[in-house]
Amino acid sequence: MGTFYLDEQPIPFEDGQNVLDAARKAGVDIPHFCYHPALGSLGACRLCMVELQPSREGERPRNMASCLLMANEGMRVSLTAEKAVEARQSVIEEVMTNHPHDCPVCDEGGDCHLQNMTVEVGPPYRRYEGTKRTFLNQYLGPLVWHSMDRCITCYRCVRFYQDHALGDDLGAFGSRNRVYFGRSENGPLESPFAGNLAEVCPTGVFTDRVYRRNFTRVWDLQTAPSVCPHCSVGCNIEPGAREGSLRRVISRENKRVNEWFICDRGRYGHRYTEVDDRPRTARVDGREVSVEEALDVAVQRLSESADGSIGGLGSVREDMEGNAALRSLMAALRGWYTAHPNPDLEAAIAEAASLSAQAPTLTEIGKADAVLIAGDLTGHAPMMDLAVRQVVRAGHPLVLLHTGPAPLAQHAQRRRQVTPRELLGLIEALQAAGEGTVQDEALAQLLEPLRTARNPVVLGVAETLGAPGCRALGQLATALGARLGFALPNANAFGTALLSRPGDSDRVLESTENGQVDKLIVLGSDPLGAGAGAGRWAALRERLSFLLVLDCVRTKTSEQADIFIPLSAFTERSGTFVNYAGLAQGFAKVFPRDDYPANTFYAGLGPVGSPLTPRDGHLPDAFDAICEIGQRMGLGRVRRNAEILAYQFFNEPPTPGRTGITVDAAGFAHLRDSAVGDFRPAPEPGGGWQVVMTTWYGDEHLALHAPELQSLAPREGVRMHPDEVAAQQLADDARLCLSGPGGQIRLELIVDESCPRSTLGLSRASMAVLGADEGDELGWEVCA
Amino acid sequence: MLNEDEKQHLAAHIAHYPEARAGAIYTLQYLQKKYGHLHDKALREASELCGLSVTQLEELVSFYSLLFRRPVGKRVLRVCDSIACHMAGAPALLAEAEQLTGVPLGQPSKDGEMTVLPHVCLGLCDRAPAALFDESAQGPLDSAALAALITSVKNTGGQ
Amino acid sequence: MEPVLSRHFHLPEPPDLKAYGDYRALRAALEQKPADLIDQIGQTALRGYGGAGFPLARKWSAVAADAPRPHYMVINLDETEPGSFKDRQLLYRDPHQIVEAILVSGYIQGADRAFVFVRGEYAEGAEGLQRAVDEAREAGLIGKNVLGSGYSLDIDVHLSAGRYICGEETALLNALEGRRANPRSKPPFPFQKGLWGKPTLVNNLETVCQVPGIVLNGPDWFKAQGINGGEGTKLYSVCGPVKNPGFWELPMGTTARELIYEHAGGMLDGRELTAFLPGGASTAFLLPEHVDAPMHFESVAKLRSRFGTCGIIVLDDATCPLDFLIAINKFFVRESCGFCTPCRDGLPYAHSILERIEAGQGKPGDREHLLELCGKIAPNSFCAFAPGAVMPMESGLNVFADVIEAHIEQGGCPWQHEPARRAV
Repeated sequence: MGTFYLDEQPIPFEDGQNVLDAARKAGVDIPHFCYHPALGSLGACRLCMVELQPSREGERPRNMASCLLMANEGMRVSLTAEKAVEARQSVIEEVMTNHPHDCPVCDEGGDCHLQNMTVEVGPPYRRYEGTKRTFLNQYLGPLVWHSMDRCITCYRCVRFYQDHALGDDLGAFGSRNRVYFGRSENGPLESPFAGNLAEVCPTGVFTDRVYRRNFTRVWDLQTAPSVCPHCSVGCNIEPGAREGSLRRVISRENKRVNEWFICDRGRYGHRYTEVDDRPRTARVDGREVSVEEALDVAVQRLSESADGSIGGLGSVREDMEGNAALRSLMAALRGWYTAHPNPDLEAAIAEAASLSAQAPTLTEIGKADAVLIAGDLTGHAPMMDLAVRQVVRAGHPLVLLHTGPAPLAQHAQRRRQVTPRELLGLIEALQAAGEGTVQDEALAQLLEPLRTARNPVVLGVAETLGAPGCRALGQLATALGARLGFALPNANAFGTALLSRPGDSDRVLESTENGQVDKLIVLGSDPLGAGAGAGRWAALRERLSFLLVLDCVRTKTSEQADIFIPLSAFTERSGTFVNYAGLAQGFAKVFPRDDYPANTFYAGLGPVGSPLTPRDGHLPDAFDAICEIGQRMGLGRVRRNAEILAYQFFNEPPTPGRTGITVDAAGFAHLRDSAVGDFRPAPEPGGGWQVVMTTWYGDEHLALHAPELQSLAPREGVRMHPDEVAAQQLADDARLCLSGPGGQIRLELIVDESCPRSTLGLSRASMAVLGADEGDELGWEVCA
Repeated sequence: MLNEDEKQHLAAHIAHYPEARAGAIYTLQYLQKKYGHLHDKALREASELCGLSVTQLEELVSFYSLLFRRPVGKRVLRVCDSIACHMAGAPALLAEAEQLTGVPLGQPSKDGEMTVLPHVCLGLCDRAPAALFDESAQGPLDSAALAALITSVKNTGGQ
Repeated sequence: MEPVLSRHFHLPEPPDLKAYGDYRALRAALEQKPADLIDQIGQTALRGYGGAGFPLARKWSAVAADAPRPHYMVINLDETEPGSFKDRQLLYRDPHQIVEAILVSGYIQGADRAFVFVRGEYAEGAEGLQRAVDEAREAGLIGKNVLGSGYSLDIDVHLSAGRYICGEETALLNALEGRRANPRSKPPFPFQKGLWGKPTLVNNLETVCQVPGIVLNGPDWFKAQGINGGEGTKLYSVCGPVKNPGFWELPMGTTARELIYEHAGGMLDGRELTAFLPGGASTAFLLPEHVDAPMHFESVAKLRSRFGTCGIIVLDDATCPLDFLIAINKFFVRESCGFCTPCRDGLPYAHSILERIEAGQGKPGDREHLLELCGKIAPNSFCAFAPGAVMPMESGLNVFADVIEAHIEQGGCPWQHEPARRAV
């Protein structure tokens, strides 16, 4: 700690802090290109030159790069000294010798660090008369656009891509004034974080290709603080929209969540809100109607119901408010509420959430000195994976336990891959070894890096682990003295756990199976289609006399609805998600979606102030739509209670743009009470072919509707270990027929050594068709 | 393709550094000696040995001036054009070399026997204008000596 | 004067171990304490001969014995400075001298492993050095427990894949580690965090080869080898339009006049000396009036140039100084690693102006513009490359101001020199 002086202004600094960093924190932004708060100092661009005043007699003032100059007590530096100003101007003049000055046609124009620096620093004229260097651009895939002539060689792209995100397919080629940043050949960037290149690039070399197709100048964008809806991390984002359509999403800093970056699922997944097949019109019995009419019919049919005959399925991807409204409505109608079509997943989420009171933030994960992961983080919470990469980068050990393929495997110092049904046993054995109750050399080896760590972190994927696995992992973390966190399904799984009671999911499912429930309200969920446990629900469709679906995307369930009400997407309304660590974050409405066809719902409208007053003419959100049903049924308390329920475990409703509010002690007490005492016994390996889920970073229910991102999805097929392919004497181009409780599917065989032996690697979509969960044993045969 | 002995030799070399990537330069030099230049296949072979991606190897190959990513002739003549050799007539020699080979500098001659390249100071300033013919030092060169070097290759080649 | 470094240069072939003889200096060193030996070196004026001229004993004392192991020693044999070819002679003519010098220096430094970084163009020399290393290893001079002393050192000969920047010591470390040879920021200095983050001392070859002599004969002997205020001997060289370009081991402090007019045989017939670069391409011009200056660090520094590697490049009156400057700058433009802006983009910027003047399209103010660029490139760049590149340009723009202005005024070259085609 100390103070130095920047042009007489005292600047406090911490030990080891450089002048640029300390000045930034004190609110003085020293011009820079290659320095980046997350990527650190490099010293290459030389724009951050300051003049260091002599500290001893006889010394002369010297120009120093402030990003590499360590702050010292009493040190005097000047930003305004003539030599320093000249130095910075010369850097601008030098980088502009090759920059094409093509701002009018550049996507970065108006949002360009180089532009800002050039205007801020000068010189305001151009003297260079020589030729400019030019390059060929590359095709880098559907997400990132490449325009190398603009490059100022700050190396931020490779430092992010290789050093920070541990990607290895983007590099710096060549030398001198012809350094080229790109891939060794044309092709999509492979990193799940590639889209960040558009943000770290200080000029228009890497730009957002999806935004480009829907381009508008950034100053014309409507923006608002928002939260990413695509996984449980809840990265803070800033969506930008114009003229009724969403154009892009960029990251927004929140030190408790994501500081600088977001993953490509988060950056490009939002395209689900813009696709043509997004449902925009309400339907009753297959007939397109106004939302108004659909609500009326719904009210009418629900009013005829007997007590206990209505089930409400909430959603892990819908916000707190919508789920609370549904639960409140169910309570008022004496119906049943659960957020989870799948009882096993409900239990896993409840267990995981109850163990997450001390869950580490991404920054804390990144600072761990050893990490143990159970499951594939990349496919479930990509930004958690990026945090783990910082641990790897610092040279600390990563221990990985996994079933399916996991991109982090290549960075694991130790790892063990098992079949899904063996995972629980492995964790329990590790725990025993960790506590010293069992002597096992191999297990001890696996744990060794964590035992010597001072600040270990354990991370699990709740969906992969199931409730027993989550609990076992919690015990292992305790034995290791490690912080524990879980990647949960979707954006609001934690929130739904706060609204659930143990066994809700079982009760709704069983009541439907035994016929007590024959009317179902489904909010933002696809029990008949995607997702584990789908098999049981799909079989029940015919028994339902009434199916009301509210959703913002098209699903199998929405297709089969008697009444369908289209919902606004997260950018078109405000709401709250609770992330994996129990942090409630508000997201604000970004823009009104008023380009949709005029809807009679909005014509001739009810009293001013009604929640369904057209306001800007947008689609209803779940909270409003459900509360309105209650209102029209004469149940005014639905809204009142929903408002209480939604925020019951938080001091106050979180404000969008703020850092968020953590679940209070009562909330965690509720979660502990919700965690089931005894689990259904996990099935033992039966010797058959177990299903193992192969996922990827774009794999999430909403993002599955984002076309550009999905064009990068791995090939659909059934994956099998090469040894098994050989043992089964299968041709490499064989097609296999698989059958499960939900149906049958024909898939092309893909030889994949990242699947364990005696497993069938299947995508989430294929598993949904088959109605199979991870670990289920399936039969298969070669298709005729 | 590298044979097993070669692979083992390279693996042993790579293993004698604290980090595998330190062995990349030697591996690339070795492969270049074997293949003449570092084609895609060579980079993939190196990638498997050094634990670097093809892109990461390309970063090295494109930086270091003695590594060839594109085909070169069987023999490579590097004519120094730095200051001492420049004063002694290197520009004229390079122009003559283009005439003699019939292709621009850097391209392999049509018979594939020879590539002539300008090169930075070879440490042969006392023999200016100097050149490196594969690994052997040449100089001082005049037009006749240059022509002799280039035609010697033409004569012995021609399969 | 008895030749020291060049004592075997008269042999038709580089001596093998038998011809080289016993590693006497190594035996002598092993009988003394490293600290005492550093002390002896410290009594001399021995400095780095790679260009920077840092006092050797101070550099070698920098690594604390208790710093994390292993300690690395790197011999910088990446001699690519135009006008310098002295290290080449040692490599090609007496590799055992190198091996012995490394063993002695490694012992004094407390190194655990030594890397000799040889420029790729010296591949044949590197093979000879590798043979010498193998011979010495077989003789028990390299490896574990050298000559039963308890001191262990292994020597790796690493062949570079090319580029001048590898001679910059931190870029060299990146090159050795299999990275792009961009320089690293200092601090931390290599002696703190060098190869693979471990303490590393990087030394020029000629410098290290001076150490065995001091070990064998003592500091006073070393001092007595020099003249005119210099100490020890030096491998001097002269190239350019002289009758007998070459290299000679001479007392440190020999004058430029003796080097150019005696050893190099004087200027080619009919040519006059107009200027010379005293220490390789990246130094400032000295003029005919400076030829009586002794060639050593302090004396050359007094003339506002640099001793550098003391490879003298001579410029004559038949050569257009602008052509000379462009040829030099072309080298630096081409060899810039592309890391920092002033070097990467500033040198080509200057080059475009130089070429415009040469092509007869110079404008009044161009020379001042160039000087302004020089003044901004040198103090703001990341490593010593760009300051080195700017030195001859800046001094040339001043020394040959009238010539440059004549180019601008006449719209062409007063020498009627055709612009050379230069592959930049």
